[in-house]
Amino acid sequence: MTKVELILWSGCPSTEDARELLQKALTELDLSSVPVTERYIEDYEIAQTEKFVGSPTIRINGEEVIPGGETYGLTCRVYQKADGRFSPLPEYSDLLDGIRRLSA
Amino acid sequence: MAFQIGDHTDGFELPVASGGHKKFDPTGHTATVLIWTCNHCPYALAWHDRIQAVIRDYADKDVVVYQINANDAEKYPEDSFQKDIERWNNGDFAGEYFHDAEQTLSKHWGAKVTPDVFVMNREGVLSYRGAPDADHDDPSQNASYLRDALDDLIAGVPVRTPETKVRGCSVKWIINDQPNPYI
Repeated sequence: MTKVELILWSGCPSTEDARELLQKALTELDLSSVPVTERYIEDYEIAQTEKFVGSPTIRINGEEVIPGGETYGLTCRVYQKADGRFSPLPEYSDLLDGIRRLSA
Repeated sequence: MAFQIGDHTDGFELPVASGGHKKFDPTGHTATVLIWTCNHCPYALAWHDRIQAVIRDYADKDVVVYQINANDAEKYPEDSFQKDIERWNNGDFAGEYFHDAEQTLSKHWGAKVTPDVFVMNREGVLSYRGAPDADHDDPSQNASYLRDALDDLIAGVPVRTPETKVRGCSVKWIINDQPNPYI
């Protein structure tokens, strides 16, 4: 049973975009029936214990879909696009690759 | 209090990444710009190059642009003054980069997120407040909100859109007594 988690922090404005991007990827991979559990982290200490790199973080069965980052806290997560630009959302192709890897 | 459009803003003195302290005076130039930013926020990083381009493009038009990092460096070490200096030494900034470790000043101004853009006219009156442009993810937007405000001040006409919605990471307060900008 695949468990997909979207872990968020309310101080970051990317939540809706992250939700849509994740759903699009799951649909493309024929995983749209897999439920996504959304969880908010709002406490700095919990962010440390949960190793929460930032919002949004996507995990499948507890594993990071896109690994990276060793500083934890209540912040927006920095992703890097294929062309090198920084973004608050993962590159779509990286998201697809990560989901494929962890849901196989 | 936080400055609103039409308010006279204040000067201050803070450490800068280029070395020592520098005075900020919001008056005396066609436009003076103060932008809250930081080293770790994806929105600030996504807009960073566009903001530096504005600084270079308007340098000969009596427009001065300052950036300021006020994030809690203890919990977010990427936003330490040392990291500011490293980025400065790396040539990442086209203008002075202040560091507000105590955050009093940033709360006084009402900074909310990174980036958060404040533009003052020659009298130091807040004339634009908001985002650099409409989309952090679209470099072709070219900081158009900020450029429009500067162009209007240079032309001597009222800023066409004095306020836009900010979008970015909330400022990381040491004592978080500020409202969440997204709730």
